[in-house]
Amino acid sequence: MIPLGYAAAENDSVRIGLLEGGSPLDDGRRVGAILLSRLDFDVQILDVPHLPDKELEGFVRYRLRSLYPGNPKDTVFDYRVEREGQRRQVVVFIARQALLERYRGAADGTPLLLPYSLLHGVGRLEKNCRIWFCHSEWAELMVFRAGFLVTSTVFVRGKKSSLNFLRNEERDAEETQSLPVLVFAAQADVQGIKRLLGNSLEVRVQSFDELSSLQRKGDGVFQEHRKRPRIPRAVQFAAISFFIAAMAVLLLFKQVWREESGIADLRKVHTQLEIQSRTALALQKDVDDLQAELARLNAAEPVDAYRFLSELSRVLGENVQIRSIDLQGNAFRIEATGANPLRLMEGFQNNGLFKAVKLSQVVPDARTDRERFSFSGVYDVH
Amino acid sequence: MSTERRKRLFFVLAVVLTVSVMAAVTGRGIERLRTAEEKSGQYRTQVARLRQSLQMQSQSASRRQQLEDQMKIARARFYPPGEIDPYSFGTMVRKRLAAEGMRVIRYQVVEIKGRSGLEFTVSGPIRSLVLFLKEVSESQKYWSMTSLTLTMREGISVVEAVFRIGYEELAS
Repeated sequence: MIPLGYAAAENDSVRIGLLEGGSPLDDGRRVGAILLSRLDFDVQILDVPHLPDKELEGFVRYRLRSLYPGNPKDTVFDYRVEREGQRRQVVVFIARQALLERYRGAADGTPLLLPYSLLHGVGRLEKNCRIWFCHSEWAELMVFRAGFLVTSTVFVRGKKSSLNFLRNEERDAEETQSLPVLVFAAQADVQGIKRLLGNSLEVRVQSFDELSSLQRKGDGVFQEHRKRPRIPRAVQFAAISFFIAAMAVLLLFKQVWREESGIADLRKVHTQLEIQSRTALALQKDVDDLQAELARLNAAEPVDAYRFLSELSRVLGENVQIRSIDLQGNAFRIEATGANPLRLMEGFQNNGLFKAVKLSQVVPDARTDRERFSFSGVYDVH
Repeated sequence: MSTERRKRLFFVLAVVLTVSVMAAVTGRGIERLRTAEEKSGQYRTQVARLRQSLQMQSQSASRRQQLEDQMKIARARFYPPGEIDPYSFGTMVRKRLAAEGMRVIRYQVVEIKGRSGLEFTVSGPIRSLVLFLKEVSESQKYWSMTSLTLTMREGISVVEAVFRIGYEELAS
């Protein structure tokens, strides 16, 4: 169990030792909390009206101006709010700023305590009692009624009559005579106090060691508000850089997600178009098949002999007498009698339906002044 | 190792680790972006091509309808399979020739390129033959005349003709 320490200001320094025995902490021994010299602190008790907690400090500060004579600028205070049903009480601990800073400096972060910090739990438990806290240099008498601190008085112990004030005080206490008395003292004083106060059932004397079980860090007074640890510049720079980089990466990924989402949309459109395209291709195939089939049917169209003869008579004219025609498929051979067959050839050349027409034989007829001739060619049926 | 030094080392390690992770994530992001842009470009090209192709093929439906109509007309000129045989066809041709005043000298059923046809030898006025040929030409179904040999008799307008005639049938 970590022992309690004790600190007392002396001239320009602060003496720190163990509460029990008073040996100095010069061997690096640690203490759980440090009890402050009650002589350097004042305790005031205030009944407070129903106020919001955030206004409480202002109220205490205002009341202290009339209760505490010190300069407010040089004074610091801490308080503890006690509640019981509707009743609220504030126990205010007051000290000079400079003195408190010396204690804080000496404590080096160890929680600071006053006797009330250690004993208010006992007073609350006992409801009505008188509690003495007897240090070797001073003693504090705390009177509790209904669990609330009523008075807090501090006595300086002289070296010779070290405990006489205790006997005198107990003897003279009229109003509080009937209250049970609890005394907390150093082990060395316990037997002496017991002898001094007699073996009354209403008196209990306990050593400081028994206070250890009552000690709680949360009961510390004048706790320094922990300053937010200053973030090193390098860490700040790294954090800002990380933030900027993270934002940049986020932006990059936003772009990636947008692009990927766009791909999903495009894929959907592509799939739809592909389906439509497949339908269209099937349609196109139908068209191609139909065209091929139609071409096949058109190719099967037979040679029209009537149209052939009509076209032939138009090219030959009235002056040509046909002697014979031989039409095999679309190839033809004609023998005829007429004048100037070469001129007829021009007619064939100019007619698109007759191809490869050749004049093969021309025999002039001396009797009629006409010519017998034959020609062959191809009639383009389509 | 002092606490300060340990803290500093931890900080440096954290920075190195963070930078590495960020670099890896950024690299992955850039890679994904590049891939996504490539894919996106490919899809855009394909979509544009498909749209263009669809636009061109939008006329196919009307073209198909048009071709189907043409097919219907073209098919109507052919005999459906089994509707006619060479003998009934020959009878029909004979009747037409007779109706036009042509005299049939002889006729016979012949095989023309694997199909049955008829070879007629006729004589008669040239005008009658032309009218017969006109009937053949204007026939609702195709009558094919694969050969025609005409010989005119000098001085009179009488013609002797040998022709092979058949009918066009749809492939079954």
